[in-house]
Amino acid sequence: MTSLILSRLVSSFIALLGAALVAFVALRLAPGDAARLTLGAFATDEAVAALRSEMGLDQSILTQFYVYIRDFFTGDWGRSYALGEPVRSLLGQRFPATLELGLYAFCMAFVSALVLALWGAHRKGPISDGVPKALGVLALGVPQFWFGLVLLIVGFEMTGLFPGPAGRLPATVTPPAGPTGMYTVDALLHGDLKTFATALHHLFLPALALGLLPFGFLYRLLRANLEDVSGAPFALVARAHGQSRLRVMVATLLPNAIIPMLTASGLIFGQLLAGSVLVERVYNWPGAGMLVTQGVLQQDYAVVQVFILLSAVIYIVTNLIVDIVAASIDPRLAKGGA
Amino acid sequence: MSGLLDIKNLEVGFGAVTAIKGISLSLYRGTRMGIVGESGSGKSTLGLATLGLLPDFARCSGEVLFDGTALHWDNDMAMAGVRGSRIGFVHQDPMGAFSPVHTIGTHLTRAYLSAHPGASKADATKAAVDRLDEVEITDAKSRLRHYPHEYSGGMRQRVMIAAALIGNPELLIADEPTTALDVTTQAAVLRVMNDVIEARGMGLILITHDLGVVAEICSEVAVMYHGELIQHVPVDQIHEKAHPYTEALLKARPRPGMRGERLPTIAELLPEGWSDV
Repeated sequence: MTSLILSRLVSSFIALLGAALVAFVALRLAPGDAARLTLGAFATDEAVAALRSEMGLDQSILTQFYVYIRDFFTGDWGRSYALGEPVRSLLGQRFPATLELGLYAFCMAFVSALVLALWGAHRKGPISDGVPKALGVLALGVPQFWFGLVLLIVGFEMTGLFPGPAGRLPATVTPPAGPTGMYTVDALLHGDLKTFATALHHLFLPALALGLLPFGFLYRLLRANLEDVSGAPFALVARAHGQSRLRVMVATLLPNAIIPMLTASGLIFGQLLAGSVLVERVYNWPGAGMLVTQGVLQQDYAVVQVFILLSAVIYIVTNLIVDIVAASIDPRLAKGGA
Repeated sequence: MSGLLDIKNLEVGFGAVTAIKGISLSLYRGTRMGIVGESGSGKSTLGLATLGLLPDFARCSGEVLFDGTALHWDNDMAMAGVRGSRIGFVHQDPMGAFSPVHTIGTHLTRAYLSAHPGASKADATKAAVDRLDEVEITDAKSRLRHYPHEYSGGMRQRVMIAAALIGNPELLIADEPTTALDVTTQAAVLRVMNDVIEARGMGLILITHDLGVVAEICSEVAVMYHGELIQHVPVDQIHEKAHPYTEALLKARPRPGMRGERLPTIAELLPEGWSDV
């Protein structure tokens, strides 16, 4: 197990460097001059040249890459030239909002996929198995922003059960000051249950909208794998030992079927963070998605680069955790090493 | 007098196929019965039907009484109380019969705890070690922590016997327990199985297509053909009153001195028109 973790750490570091390189090169290759875009078409050539040298764009590409990597790890993330603010404070506010939304969406998707797949595999009725299966197919085909709008119309406009697209908290509530920037977590840390409940209330619809697709994917994956392993001889033998159908399903079949779902979870979680921009737009969620989309359009290097690296770090860490969990479930994975 | 196991007019169908066509059979306490037949004769289905472990789409009719009480196959909880603790089962595939992500110890203790609800984990571990000793797995205590892929095929099959015994059943159904093993390992596994059954005075249903194994271990033999029970006799009488099909089966066995000759096949040995049954 230790050798697995070590080899994974090394490959994670290499993957991170790779991600940094790709982010760096892709942005440099994009047409247009960042300094010119920042200052506008009427700026004098001298002003543009001055900004280019201030941004470091006049240095060699290698030096730029070195500075970029060094600054990322030392926490100097530069300044957004479009917004005139340090990237650190920009992302410091926005990224936790995206992370929190992604976490809730993912947890809802994972737990409901797990429960429904187990239930359907255990009781193969038209309701217990048929309805979730249809839902799983639907989830893969429904566009997120459309589903987000439908949820808003039903949950807010028609029934008034949930708040409208008003961001993370109503304007009247002061956001909890806290270490993580995720309001539900910070509110709990301060013991402020009322703010926690309000934040959760605001999170529910966007998380549902964002979580539908991963739910469909994870559900179908686990359900199919459960079906596969339920035909294995060990399922029969476990029952011959006197274990009930349900117990065999949960204690024997699930650990054998869940590993592909865990692996997929790692990938999906990363995707949720990077791909939540449409849902953020629908719900006026002040997350990183909008900020970064703007950044790309305006060639705001600093913001985009840091976001890509930050996503890569989270992606890699998540997958590292997934690998370790999977290896602790299946001993053959721990042995296999790389 | 009723037996330990009474199968009454059991019929099993899968879709359009009738796998077992109305079999009645009794097994008395302590009896060791070999069930022989070709592949597809319904012998494995008979074993699984008794335990209520056939797939959901199987149609079963008839009755199986265990120790005088009818088994209710569709009541999973009631059957869970019979499986393992009254009737043990040994599967034919030692590779696939263990969950690859659970240790051997987990398999054994789970089997023990299902048969002894409310027993402590320590009791279960102790029982697991004792049963592994019984089937001659050395260093049982530390081997509990190992995974199935760290065991050889023969060892796994012995562990499967240990797991079937851990609930202290009165009857063991062994479905081709040695088919997947090489000949030397087969002999060792059979000897271990024979020893533990003799020591406990258990009943045995040994499903096999190896008549030699039946002659060595069993006291009775039942011959199945196309889902029907053709003959059921004490094992020493199988030659005397052999049914034509049984005789054909016996003749189809390889014998020393037959080197270079072709083995006779069932079709050419059977009397004219016999296989149209």
